[in-house]
Amino acid sequence: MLEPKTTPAQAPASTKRGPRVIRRGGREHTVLLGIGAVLAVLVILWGGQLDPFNQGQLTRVAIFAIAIVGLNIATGYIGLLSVGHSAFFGLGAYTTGVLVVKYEWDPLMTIPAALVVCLVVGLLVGLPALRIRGLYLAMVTLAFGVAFPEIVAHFDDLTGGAEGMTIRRQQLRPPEWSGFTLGERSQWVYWLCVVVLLIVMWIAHNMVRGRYGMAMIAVRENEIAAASSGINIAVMKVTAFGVSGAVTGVAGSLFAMYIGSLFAEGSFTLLAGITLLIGLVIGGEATRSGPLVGALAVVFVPYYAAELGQGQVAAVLFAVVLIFVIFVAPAGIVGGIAKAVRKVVVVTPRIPRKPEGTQQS
Amino acid sequence: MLEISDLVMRFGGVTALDRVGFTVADNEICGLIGPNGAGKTSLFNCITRIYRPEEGAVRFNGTDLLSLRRHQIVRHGIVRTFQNLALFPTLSVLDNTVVGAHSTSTPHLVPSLLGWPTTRAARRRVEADAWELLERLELTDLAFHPAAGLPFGTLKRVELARALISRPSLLLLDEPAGGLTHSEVNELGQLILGLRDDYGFSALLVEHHMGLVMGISDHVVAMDFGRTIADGSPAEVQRDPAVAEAYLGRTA
Amino acid sequence: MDIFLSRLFSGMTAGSIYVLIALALVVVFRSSSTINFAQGEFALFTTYVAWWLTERGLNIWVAIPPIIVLGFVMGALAERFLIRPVRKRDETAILIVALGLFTGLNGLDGWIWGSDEKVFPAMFPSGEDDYVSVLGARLHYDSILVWIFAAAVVIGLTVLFKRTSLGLEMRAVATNPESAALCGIKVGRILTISWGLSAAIGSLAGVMLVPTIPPGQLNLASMFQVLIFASAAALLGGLDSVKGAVVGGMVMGIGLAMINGYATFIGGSFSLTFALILIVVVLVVRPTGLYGTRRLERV
Repeated sequence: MLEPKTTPAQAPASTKRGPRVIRRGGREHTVLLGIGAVLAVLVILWGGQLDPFNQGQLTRVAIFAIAIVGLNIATGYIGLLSVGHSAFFGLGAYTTGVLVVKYEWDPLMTIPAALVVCLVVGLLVGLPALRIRGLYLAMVTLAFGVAFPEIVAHFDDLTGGAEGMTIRRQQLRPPEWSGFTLGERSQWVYWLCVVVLLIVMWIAHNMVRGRYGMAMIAVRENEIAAASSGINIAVMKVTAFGVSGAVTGVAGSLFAMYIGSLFAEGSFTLLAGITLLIGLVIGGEATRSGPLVGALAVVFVPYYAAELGQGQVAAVLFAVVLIFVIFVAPAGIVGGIAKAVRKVVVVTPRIPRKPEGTQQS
Repeated sequence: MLEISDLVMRFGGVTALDRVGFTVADNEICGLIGPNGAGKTSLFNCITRIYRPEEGAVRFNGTDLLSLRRHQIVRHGIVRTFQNLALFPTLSVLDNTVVGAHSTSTPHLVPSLLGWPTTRAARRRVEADAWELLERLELTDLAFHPAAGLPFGTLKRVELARALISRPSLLLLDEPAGGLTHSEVNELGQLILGLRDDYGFSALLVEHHMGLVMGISDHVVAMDFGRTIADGSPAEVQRDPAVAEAYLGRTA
Repeated sequence: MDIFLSRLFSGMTAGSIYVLIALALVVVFRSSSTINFAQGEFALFTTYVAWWLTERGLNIWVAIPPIIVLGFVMGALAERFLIRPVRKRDETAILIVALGLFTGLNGLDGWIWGSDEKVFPAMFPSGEDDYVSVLGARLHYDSILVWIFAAAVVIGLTVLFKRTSLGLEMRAVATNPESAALCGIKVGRILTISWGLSAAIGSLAGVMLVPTIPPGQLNLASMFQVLIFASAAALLGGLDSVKGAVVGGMVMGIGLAMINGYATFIGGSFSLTFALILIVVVLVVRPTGLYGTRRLERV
């Protein structure tokens, strides 16, 4: 264990002497977290007063970040590669679409509905995962992703089929209590997505930092040892897939509210599923902020690529960035940054001490 | 008390276990020896439900182990270590140990997601427990280091810590001395005996290092070609001609 | 009867294409124990190149050999520079690289040639009157020729695997790369050749596929469905079995033609969903497929 070095406040820690050590929960750590929180709040507030177009971009970032957090649970943490997660995204979107258009639900109420629907479907899709190894599971999810638009087209009286479904703006009006008018719809959607993103990231943080997350990583890294330690592999895999689908489904639900018109062949195809996966890998699998970075890539790479050529350039660019990341920084951008930061500063957890007066467990 | 009787296990044409049977008493250290391919690891894998034997029974304190699923074994007080180590590389030494307590203190999904106080309190308790074990095994310096990249001997101790945190009644040790230097093996022997005295468990030890086996075992079983060829005290087994033949006959 | 035969024939034609792509998947699986998800996009790219050549005035038959070579080169380069470096890591790394190739190649096609539909010249005479009458059903010449080409590739591969030393080396590399290397087999070269061969087969399949399978035009999504059907076929037959790919491909082709033809009460196209269900069933019930070799796992 390295001793904390006392370095002058202005000079950076010399790498020859090793990284500076900070205790989690200590004063320096709290200060750093505080700065981070303030920055995040500033960014969010700044986004809140942007013009509709740019605000819409940030809204899309939030939506895709939620979707990728979902994917991260199944693919990053438990290690079940899911190529067709776009199907959950689409399922959530269509759940909202159908409930709002056909049954005149309040859009906000459709979010829990989408969550439940996708949770159930995720559990079902997760069942084959019990018997099928990584490569083959990827094939199943691939087929699922390709089949989804076809299934949507099939139930065309419900979903509008291949022509798509449009949700009228009136139906998506902001609720009374939000203080937004119909004209400020994009603001409402922005804040809604940001809040949901924060909630989802907080939940993911809890899961990952806790022993449940540790158990998931254990399952991914060594199933036999995990089972010997008492972890029920089957239940954990299926549950993880269900939760993963549910979170991505929530993102889909928000997407429907944001975009107002659903077109399966456009947004919920296999390419969309692969894009989510690429976003996850670029951002950093099994990291807490990787999905956000991935979402930034997913939204802004096509946007800036459009200036270079026709729409398809984005895909080429993605492929190039992906391959670059896999070769140079397999832990993704966030993983790479974390590694670099660790050369300068290392946060060590508190030493566990037995609470006074308690029995041994 | 572990009772193995008439265990039969086949892989295609090969009979790995041919009516194997013996007993491990409470608090006893039992050594399992035999040339490579004798079926020792297959036996372990049957007990821990990685393999399913064709015939026979394995009972622990009256419970039929063969009716249990893999993750239920540890709940009945049986843990194992692995010959080639089976740790979780990206988790820290402390976290690897904590995972071992999964069965005694199971984290549940929904409370975990919400960061419920009871979940966090449970975690603190388990971590404190783990820390005590790490202190006992002299691993505290590396507690927050990821398991990947640590020396082999150290990782063997981490596996022990992970095994012990669930306060097991039976420890299955698969070649714990493999890859250790001579002095490390001596330390290991003393460590196992000390842990047994402190925490109270029986152990079934698969091992090639005769010094270790004969040194710490109360009871030794020898296997060859999937059969038990000797079963008794270390001295008795060492003198048994069948055992000598199994070993010396091989080196010809 | 004649309708049944019509469906049978079109099913066999589609099936032949699935057989070819399934074979391409099998060739890669046999050497690398993994699936090249980008298989379809390699084929698509070379098909676009073929289209482009015909636009320049080249006869389609003249264009085919160069694009098969192009396919081979692309597959070989991909293996050598993109796949091989990540082989040593976990298997998902290879899958992700393949998915990257998938998106990248698809995007490249769109960037270079645009996303509109292209009219693709048929290899074989496929006019209204180019058929043979069999028991009242029309058997078009192009169907027959597709079958012949597919059969030729099947025979060629069978000979390769069973009779040549290259085939033997490929099998050795698939089962145990370390031992194969110790025997003096140049594992890297074998892998590169396997991927090249696989992509070459895919290229041939691509040019035959576009004119014969609806919609008959070339567009960016041309290969998505085929990849799924061929994957289901390969899985059904057994991922390391040539015979399995043939059986699986034909079952898929004929089966889909029959279902789409007769089971109209289902309404609309359920082909992909059917393929998905088939994949899941095969993987759960009999993961090695009908003819694949069983693998024992050692703890």
